[in-house]
Amino acid sequence: MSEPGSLEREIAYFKSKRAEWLQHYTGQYALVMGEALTGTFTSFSEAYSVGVDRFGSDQFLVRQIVEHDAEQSLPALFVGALFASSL
Amino acid sequence: MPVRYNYFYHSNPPAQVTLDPNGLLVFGALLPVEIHVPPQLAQSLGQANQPIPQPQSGLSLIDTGCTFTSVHEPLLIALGLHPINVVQSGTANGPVDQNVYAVRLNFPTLGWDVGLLEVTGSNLAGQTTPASHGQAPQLLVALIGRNLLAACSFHWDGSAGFWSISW
Repeated sequence: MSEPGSLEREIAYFKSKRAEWLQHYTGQYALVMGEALTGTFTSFSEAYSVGVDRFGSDQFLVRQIVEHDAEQSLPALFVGALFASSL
Repeated sequence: MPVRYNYFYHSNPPAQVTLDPNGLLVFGALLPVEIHVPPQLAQSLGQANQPIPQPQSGLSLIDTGCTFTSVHEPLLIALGLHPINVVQSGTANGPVDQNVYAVRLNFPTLGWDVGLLEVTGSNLAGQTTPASHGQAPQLLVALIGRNLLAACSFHWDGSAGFWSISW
């Protein structure tokens, strides 16, 4: 089992298998625990539900199998302009 | 499809109420929110006779600049949640990793419950609403991003001073 708060092992495994999985499971959601693929699912909800059924509150990875991973954008927060005002 | 209207208004005696577009400009689209563990996890904890963490609540701001909805990370940790993924986020100082969590969100003033959503954990410490229009600053606990708005129709009428959301 991974150390709580870290998904390094699962993510490294995912990345090592991505090219192979893209050939068969593009767009699906991979459920990974440690260095094992539990399954692939057509929705995030399904993958998460199976993860909780199998692993309870232990840590697992759910990531969509796509060529480029999703990215977060939080421009207002990161430039400190959520509630900008003149001085 | 329920539609909820939200607005700021002036209240001028005797009982004359007019919309206040400036209030909307100053505060933006604010919504009280409750952050819960997802129902799947609550059920699993219940079956294991473990306590289900109480929801965390506060104020959220709709931010169409956010890809993912983002929640103050200490609240997610207080719910006993573990990250289920990591995403990269661009900042002025280069890319940083942000943990992704699965949560249930409830918007009590809308009567809207989002059973399962991916959110990123962020540091929103010190992010408050402005002290303006007679309102004391309130802490923000979440930024509502486009992954939630993807399930909605969101309409902003800045000139009239109201916004609406339907889902």
